[in-house]
Amino acid sequence: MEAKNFDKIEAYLAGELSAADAKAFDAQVAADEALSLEIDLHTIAHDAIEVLIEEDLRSQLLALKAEETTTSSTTTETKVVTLAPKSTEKVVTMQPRKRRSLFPRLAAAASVAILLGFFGLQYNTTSNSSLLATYQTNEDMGVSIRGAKIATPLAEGATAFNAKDYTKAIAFYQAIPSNSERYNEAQFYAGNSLYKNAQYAEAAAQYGKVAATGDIRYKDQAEWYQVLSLLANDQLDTTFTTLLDKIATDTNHSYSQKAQKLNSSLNSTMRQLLH
Amino acid sequence: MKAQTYTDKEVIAAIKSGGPKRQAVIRFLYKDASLKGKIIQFVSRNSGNYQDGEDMFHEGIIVLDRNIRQNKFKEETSLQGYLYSICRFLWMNQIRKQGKITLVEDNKDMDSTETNTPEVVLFDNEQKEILNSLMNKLGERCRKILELWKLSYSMEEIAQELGFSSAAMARKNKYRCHKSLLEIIEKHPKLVKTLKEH
Repeated sequence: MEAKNFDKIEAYLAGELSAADAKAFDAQVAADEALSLEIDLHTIAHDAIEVLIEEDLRSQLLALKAEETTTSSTTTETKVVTLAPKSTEKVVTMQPRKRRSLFPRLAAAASVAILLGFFGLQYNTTSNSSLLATYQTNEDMGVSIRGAKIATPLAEGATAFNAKDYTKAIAFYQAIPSNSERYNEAQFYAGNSLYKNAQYAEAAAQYGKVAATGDIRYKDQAEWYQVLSLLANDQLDTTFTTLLDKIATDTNHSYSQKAQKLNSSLNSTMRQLLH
Repeated sequence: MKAQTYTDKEVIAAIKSGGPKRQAVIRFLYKDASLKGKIIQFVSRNSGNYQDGEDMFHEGIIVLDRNIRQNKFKEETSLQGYLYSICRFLWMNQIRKQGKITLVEDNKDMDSTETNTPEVVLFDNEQKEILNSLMNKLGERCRKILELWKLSYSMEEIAQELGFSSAAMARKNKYRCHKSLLEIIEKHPKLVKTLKEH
């Protein structure tokens, strides 16, 4: 790939060529298949970077949502703290002699309430289901229909899946024969359908099979979904920890950063204390 | 402390400039409870629920961010109206796929220009899987350089962010990473074919 073409293609895709230059380049592309292919490669590269940006932004939005949830929980706890002194004042007015002895007790009660609230909140935010809600996005475990304008071999499964008829979707995807060129895709979607059907143990096994095929379209996702399935099944065994460590330490893995974060959440002191 | 507010022009400029300014306006858009409420209301009255509405709001911000960066937002409507029309389009698209076609419009304060169909390019799950798998053949540092470059960071800012000694070094590395990505894509003609079929 020549540097000259590289720069010109980038300028062309960014709309930075003059109208005359763009027209001349269009003509050149139309007559040159290799150049046309190069443009395809550049376009795909841009799309790939765009998907990365999308994913980052999606994570940021989920973090903002989590921040809102935490803030609202904290506000609820604050109510417990402010209510306690009010009740103290009321009692104090009616029984002045008990003022000295009652206040420390109520203050202690308020402290206990704060601590219970705090640990209650921490317990909830460090539970397996809460971790799952943090790491599983709305985009996960979906299915798509390739070539929307034509009837495709997997369309029936996608229709059942989108109608939330997961049992039908599972049966459909699992019936795709192993010599089909869509076999790996069907197996992956079978995993997604099992997961959505809350058959987490089966989903984990299914994702394991898909990851073992080494198909780069599904391998990373299947491994990460296997982790989520095991987490959903409260099955934090050796398979889970080995796989999570493997993903976390492989910086080329699509889910490396998420795995690192999940690992540190699982190993947090608070979680160790509460679970 | 009162949260900072931005005009439409300031939001657009901040998103185009990337960096912390972009992060700040994303937060500002996210915190717009009135708009979020309208979107959740629309989705809830059209075969969805609160969670679906929140999801559409998130996805709408993602599309809005991209459309502004790619100069697809023509500033003919308010930014709020544009984001509403994107979310509306996304939800309609989703329920159409599920075979639910009832439509109840209930936000009378959104005029018809704001409910026109915006230009929305969606990657489906399969495309995302393929694009992610290609991108992940690159090292993390390369992915970050390319992401920052696409978010319009200057070479000076990339150098500072990623610890290169100079803007020239950042430029050199960006070029190397970009070429590596193209080579990776070129090595997977089947995936290229699949992507082109969409």
